[in-house]
Amino acid sequence: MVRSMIILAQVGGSTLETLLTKLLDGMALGAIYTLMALGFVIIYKSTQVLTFAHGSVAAVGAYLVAYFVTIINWPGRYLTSLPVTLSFVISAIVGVAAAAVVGIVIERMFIRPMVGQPLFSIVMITLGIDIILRTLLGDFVGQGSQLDIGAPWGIFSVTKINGVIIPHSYVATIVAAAAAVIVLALFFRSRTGTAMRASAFDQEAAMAQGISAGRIFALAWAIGAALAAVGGIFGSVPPRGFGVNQTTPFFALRAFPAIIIGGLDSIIGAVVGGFTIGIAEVMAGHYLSQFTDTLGIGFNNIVPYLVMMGFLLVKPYGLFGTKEIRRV
Amino acid sequence: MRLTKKLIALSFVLALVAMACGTDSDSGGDATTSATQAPATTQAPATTQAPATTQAPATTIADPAADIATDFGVDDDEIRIGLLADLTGVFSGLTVDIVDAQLAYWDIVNANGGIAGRMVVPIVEDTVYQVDTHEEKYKKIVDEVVAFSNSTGSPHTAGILDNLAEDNVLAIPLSWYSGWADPEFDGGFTFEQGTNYCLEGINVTEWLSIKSMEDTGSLPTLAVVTRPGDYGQDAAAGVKYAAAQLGIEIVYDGEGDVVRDSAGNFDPTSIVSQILAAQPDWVWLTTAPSETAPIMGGVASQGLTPQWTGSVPSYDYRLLDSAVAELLTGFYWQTGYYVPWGTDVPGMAEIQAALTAAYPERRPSDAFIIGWTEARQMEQILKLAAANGDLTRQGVLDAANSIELITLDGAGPDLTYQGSPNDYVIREIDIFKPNVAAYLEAGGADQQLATAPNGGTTGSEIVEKSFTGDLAAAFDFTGACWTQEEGNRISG
Repeated sequence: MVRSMIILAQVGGSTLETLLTKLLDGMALGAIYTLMALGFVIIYKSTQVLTFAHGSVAAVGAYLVAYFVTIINWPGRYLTSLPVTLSFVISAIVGVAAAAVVGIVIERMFIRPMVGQPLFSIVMITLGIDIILRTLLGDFVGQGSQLDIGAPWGIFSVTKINGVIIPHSYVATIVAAAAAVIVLALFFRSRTGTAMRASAFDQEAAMAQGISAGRIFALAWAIGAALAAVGGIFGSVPPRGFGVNQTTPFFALRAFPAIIIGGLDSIIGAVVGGFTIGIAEVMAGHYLSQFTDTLGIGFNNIVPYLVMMGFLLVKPYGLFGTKEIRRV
Repeated sequence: MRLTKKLIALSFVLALVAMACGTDSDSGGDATTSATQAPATTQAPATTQAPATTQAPATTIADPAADIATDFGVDDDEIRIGLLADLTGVFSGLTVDIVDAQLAYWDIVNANGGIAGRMVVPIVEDTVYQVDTHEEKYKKIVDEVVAFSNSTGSPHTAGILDNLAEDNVLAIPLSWYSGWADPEFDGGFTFEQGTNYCLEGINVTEWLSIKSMEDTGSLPTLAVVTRPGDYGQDAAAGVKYAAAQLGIEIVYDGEGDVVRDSAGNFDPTSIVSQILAAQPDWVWLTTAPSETAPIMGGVASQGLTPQWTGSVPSYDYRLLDSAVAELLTGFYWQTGYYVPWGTDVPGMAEIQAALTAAYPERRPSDAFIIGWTEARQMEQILKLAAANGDLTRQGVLDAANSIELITLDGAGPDLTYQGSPNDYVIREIDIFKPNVAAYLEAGGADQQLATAPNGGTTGSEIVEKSFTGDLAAAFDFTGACWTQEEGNRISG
């Protein structure tokens, strides 16, 4: 393993330190994709709906945090001695909670009335919600502008260990994703989580056991939206992003290859897919950047899709997706 | 389940379609890094009376003739001029202020009797920084106006050159492409301001070489990172020319590398990687401010802090509201075709008084200066045309070509279009340093023109005024440095 990493580093004309630095960068990006993908998967597993409003919900969460941090300086203006990072985290918690409420509202207003209707119609509704939220975001942020979200972990805040650069913001992103995965794992062991799993496995049987499908749907949308918002926040924080703008919602669509690779209905798959895609994108961006004359600029952006297609050719249901059994 | 899988496949296709149909910030998307709301810029400002402290801008042009010929856009009561402006789009944060400054200027002119007894009526159209929309909006209003006092964007203005020729109408480009000074390129219908991107690149590269020699005793290594097209590659041509002349090694040539995907996303990963690999002493940027921040931040986050500079539009003082403010203060050298807000020049008091009266609740803006000078340029051309008794489109063009000197009262270099382009192109450049501490001390983004001490500040502190290096002074300007068809025309 170490030997192959050294070879890769040499191929790129860089050092092993650079390789490890980029690996961390890729993991941080992968952590964001993982958060997004987890939200997708939870909503899909529980409701069979692949939501296209995910990116917009993520951006709404990030926007609210940016609003608190930049425009009204809350809670910093009342607690002036509060460290910037802590103030940001408090704002982020409120923003994520608000995104969860948005998820519940979407479910109650637009998805619940469509239960039993063709899935295609429901998917189209989520697409409509996405466009509405994106338009509203454009109005609030300003066409062609972006709203700064602050730099809670700074831009210069890095630790160097044997030449490997470790930006604190990347560490925070990975820790947040890891925490989300652990909390989810614990949640699925709880009574409510078990009910959600049961409902995802067999909705009618779950209902026969007294589990409220509506409550489970709402909960899935709340959790999915909250995870999307966490991803949106870390995607907007320097040096990964520099605020919230009209392109922020598209971050979620870049997580699509992650859920396809992992398998649409697999939590573990979302994690593996997210990190795979993140690392592949960053590595391609770095090691292929010297070939832009041949490969074109932004080649790294299509790498996730190439990886996804490669995976699907070998594993059509993704790495951890449930295989479809057909009676012939 | 079969249906479900099919739907998922369909959904994925829809996702890709959604990405493809997304807002294209490169041509209409992201811009400055602040919470800028697009104000109602297409309306005239509320103040329609001249502020008590503001007089109509002085002019030495003769009084209007008794009989004045007219054709398009002029009648006995009005002179209508067009503004093709990207009120939304990648540079809109700047353009909104530029347009509003023009509106304020014309309000003062009108409050003082207008030009030749006629009120000047600006007609503003939002071009959304799209080439096709730009032409569409041009066609929409061309028959109503005598000239265009603003046409934003290099490819956008280049896209209407044939129309300008066909309609025989003058336009002031809000763009500093070197082709505007080249009659073979623009047909003589655009009347530019300020130093063009190419000469700016030559001049600033020489300046940074001098500074590097002073600071380190050696010439710097350089990375060149630009957008593609008339903006980025015109600048890159100038920088590369100067680097070759001065013996500066370009360790990363990122000419044209700053591009966005169809969804409007800008991914700096590749550029940041190449800068990190090249380890330059200086980086030249010809970008939009929203691209400057992630490139600089991405490089800094990996522990590399070279010196940075770039074309004027690469920087927006509102970046001082963002996470890269400290980075800019420490390492960015800002260039200027015009002086920043609040600079001690003869015309500044008048500008500040007028803008404060028109927009008391707005914040100070360097972009106000640009709009003000555009309007001032147009006013002097129109006044000369009126004095010549010819406010037809041809009369306006004749006036622009024959005016001896358009004075900008220190806000920017004075202008003329007499002689050959090599005689009149502007070569000087100002260098500034952003200072976030001074900016925040003055109130930062919360500053308001009406209440800010001394009119407030945008945090730009002057380092070098009107610098013209030997290379720029000696440069034989014979035409556009870069064209879409021929590429770099001054290499070698």
